[in-house]
Amino acid sequence: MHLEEPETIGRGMQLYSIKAKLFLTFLLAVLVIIVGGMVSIFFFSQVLTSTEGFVNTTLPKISRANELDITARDIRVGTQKLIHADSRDELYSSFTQVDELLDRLEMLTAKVSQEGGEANILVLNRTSQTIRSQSLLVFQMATHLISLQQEIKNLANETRGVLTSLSLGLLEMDPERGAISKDYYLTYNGLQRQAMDVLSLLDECSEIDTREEIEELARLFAEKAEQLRFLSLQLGELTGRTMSNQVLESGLERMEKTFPLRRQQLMLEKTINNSLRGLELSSRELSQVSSDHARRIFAIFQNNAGKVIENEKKTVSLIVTAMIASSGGLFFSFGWL
Amino acid sequence: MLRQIVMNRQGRLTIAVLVMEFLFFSVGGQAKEECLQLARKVSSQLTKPVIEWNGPLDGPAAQAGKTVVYIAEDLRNGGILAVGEGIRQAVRVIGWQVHFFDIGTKDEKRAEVFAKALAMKPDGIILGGGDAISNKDFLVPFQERGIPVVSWHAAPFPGPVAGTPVAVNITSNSLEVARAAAHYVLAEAKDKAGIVIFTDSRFAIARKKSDAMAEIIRACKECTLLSVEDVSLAETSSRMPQVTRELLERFGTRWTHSLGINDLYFDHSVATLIMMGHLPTGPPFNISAGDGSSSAFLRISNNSYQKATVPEPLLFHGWQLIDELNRLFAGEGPSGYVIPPHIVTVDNIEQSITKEYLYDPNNGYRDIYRCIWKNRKP
Repeated sequence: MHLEEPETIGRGMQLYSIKAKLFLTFLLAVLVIIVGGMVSIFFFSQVLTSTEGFVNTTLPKISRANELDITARDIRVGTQKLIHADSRDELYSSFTQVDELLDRLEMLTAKVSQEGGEANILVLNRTSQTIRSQSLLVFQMATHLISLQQEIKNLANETRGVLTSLSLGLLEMDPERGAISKDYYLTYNGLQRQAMDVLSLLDECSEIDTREEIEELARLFAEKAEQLRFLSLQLGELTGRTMSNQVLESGLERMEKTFPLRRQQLMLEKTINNSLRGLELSSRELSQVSSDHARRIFAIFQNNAGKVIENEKKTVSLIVTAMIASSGGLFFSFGWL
Repeated sequence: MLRQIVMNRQGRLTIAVLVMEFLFFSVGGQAKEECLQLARKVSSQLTKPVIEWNGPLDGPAAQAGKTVVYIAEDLRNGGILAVGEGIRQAVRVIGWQVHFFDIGTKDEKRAEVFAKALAMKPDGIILGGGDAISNKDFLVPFQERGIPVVSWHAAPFPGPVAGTPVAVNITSNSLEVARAAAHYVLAEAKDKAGIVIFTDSRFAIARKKSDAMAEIIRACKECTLLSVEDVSLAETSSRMPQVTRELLERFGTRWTHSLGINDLYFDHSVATLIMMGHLPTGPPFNISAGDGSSSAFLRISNNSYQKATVPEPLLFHGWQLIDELNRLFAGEGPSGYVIPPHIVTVDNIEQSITKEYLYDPNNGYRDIYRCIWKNRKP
């Protein structure tokens, strides 16, 4: 009887020996573990990369876009505060804060613009620059407005002072103190009345806020001034005193200067309001652009994350299948043993 | 092209003014009255609203389905940004696609941006504001792949940029712009003007502009060039307040006018003028010869601390860049057209600028280009 030589595998192990079968089973198990492990590592590394990408790239981009939006709104609020400043110091202090925000806006815009990709970088840069220009203009005009308001106030105080001293001067020549003529009495009363009217016009001038009202007031003032000059001359002739003419003239000149300044003031206030409206629109546009940008970044991230999740699901299915198959294989191997 | 300019009234008047200027400077300094006459003529011509087209009336039809890339040196620059807007408008009409990149003047980003642009395999490249010579190495790969390159303000003068792949550089003639601003100052000043010029000696073209301005001021005996201040454009925000204060203390009321090679100088000098009590409508009167920034137009329209500017027609240049690329795609040469300068003042600003405060000539250029690209007679 001829017996076949048993087959060997490595180191003289016989193919169908228990040792060989154990070795093969062990090898199979190791292979399954290694392949399963590598597949897991590959797909988990994808998740890691995706998460890293989200944390290091997407989140900062979204954060920058939101910061851009917030900065634009802060500039809008800050610039509106400018026009409520009562003094230059207050104005400059407010503008320093706005200026810092403007620098921040420029820095954020540049970063988002240079990232490129999702952002509408032309509109982004344009609105950002418009906001800067409009804010600067509001600041310039607000500063000038404060100066104008101060100048008008000074002129009004001086005019009031002059007319009041004129009235007091007239009181010294009170007709009841000495012998006087009827003409003197009428002229004196007329002067007092006109001076009081002009003082009322002065008070009114600081309260009106339309150009038409200023023009009407200027016209009324011109009439009163004419009458005052006439009466003053008359009084001077009656009393032989010219002092009141000079005093009166200096007061009237000051008052006359007030009207063009009030016109300028109104024009400036109107321009400031227009600029603030423009700033509001630009700021909203920038908010829209930065919101769209943030939305797009998030949509891209969602899309990529979705793909990774799909791949992960497949991986899990693959691993489960591999585990079931390897378990089956191992059971078979044990059965074979 | 020349025939079109001569046939057009505006073109004839511009040629006449330029000839007079040439004679003026070739004969030498002139008497006060002649000096003022020339200044008034130039100023009057260049402040007229631009309503007539003196550019090309024909060209190749739109080459279909092209993709172009606009590589902006820095979109914080209002001029580069506005040219981008013009390009966007034009590509919508011509039916192309455009992609925008912003280098942000960061050298470390430059290689990356150009590499991204090259990877997109565009049909054409537009370089916005970057210097052609210093970007030459980045542009050569495009040339090697047969991708034409055009540019805006990549060199001081219009036309091809020698030694680089840039086939056409679009810009106004910087010296004409500078002279226009100087003539305006003389015409407005009438006499006894004290003028300060602001320039940036880092740029050759800025020096040429300020030299041209100074030459015109010096040629008029009644005007005085008080000073030429060299202030870097990158440092205007930090230096201009101090420079303005020092000039006011040094010259006082003798300083009646300022000439700047860019609007930026006045962005940062106005606060000082206000603090020192100068009225928005009063001297010193500020005039610039730069790109025409929105802040400059805001100041001019409010008659507040700026009298005039000689702006670049940025939106138009965007359209012209697309037209020049179209000509190159069709295998034709550039149009060679250079739009003449225009002075924007408070009197003509409403006809000259858009609601986004950009200078936009009202000469129907969009319709002209539309007709050319659609192969129709304008």
